[in-house]
Amino acid sequence: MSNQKKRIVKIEPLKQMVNVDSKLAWKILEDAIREIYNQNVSDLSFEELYRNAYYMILQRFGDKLYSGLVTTLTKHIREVSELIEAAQGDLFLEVLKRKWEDHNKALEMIQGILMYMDRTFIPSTHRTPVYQLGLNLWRDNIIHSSQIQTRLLKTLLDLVQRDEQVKLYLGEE
Amino acid sequence: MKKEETVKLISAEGFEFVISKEAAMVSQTIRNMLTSPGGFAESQRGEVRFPEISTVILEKICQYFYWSLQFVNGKETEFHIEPELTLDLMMAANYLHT
Repeated sequence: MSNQKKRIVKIEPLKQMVNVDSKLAWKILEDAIREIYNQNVSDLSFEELYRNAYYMILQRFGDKLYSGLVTTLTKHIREVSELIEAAQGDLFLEVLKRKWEDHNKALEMIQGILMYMDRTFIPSTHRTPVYQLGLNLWRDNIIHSSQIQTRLLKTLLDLVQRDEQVKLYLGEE
Repeated sequence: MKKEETVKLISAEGFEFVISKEAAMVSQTIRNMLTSPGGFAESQRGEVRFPEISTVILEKICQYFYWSLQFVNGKETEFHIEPELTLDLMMAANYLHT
């Protein structure tokens, strides 16, 4: 009887969690985010990235992870912004659209590997979830960029006007 | 079952569990791994390595996946968990979002 009881109670203490070097973990994630934007994903292990982010949160490096993400995304989006600004003529809308689609796809992947942060750290600290954060940064740095905002508006209005003129012309015929 | 419908889960010690994708996707984490756009290494190879999950725990997790599918389909049996495993299993469940 006592033997049986002993067996049941035996729960091994949680083995000491791997002590993750937060610098190294963030370096891995930062490099991965760059590769995601470069569309070199097939060599990346989702599990490894998710695990690094997971340990960073567990070991209270959530702030470091979050601020690192903001910095990296902002830096990338600023670079994209310059590319879009440099696009000439009709290319402008094309580049803008392509970069927007790339950004969305990348964001989905980043959201995936940082899902643990979205689930735990973000609600408890009332911050913006990863995907929303990416959209906000895009809006602030690209759509509201002085070089882009007026040009985008003008290009779109020109297109609408051209369209209307064509309709008018065809209608009169 | 076709190969595309299965996924191989590999434990810390290198044991391989081949289970259906449907079962594996009971875990939100694995679901994300396999459905994330762009194709991470895991979804290309159809296998996921868990260097932090031991064979005993991973086996239990695989049993749970199938049990969970049966449960939502109305077969309400009990899922037995050895007390020795509870702590590690809870950690793994948190990690796998299950």
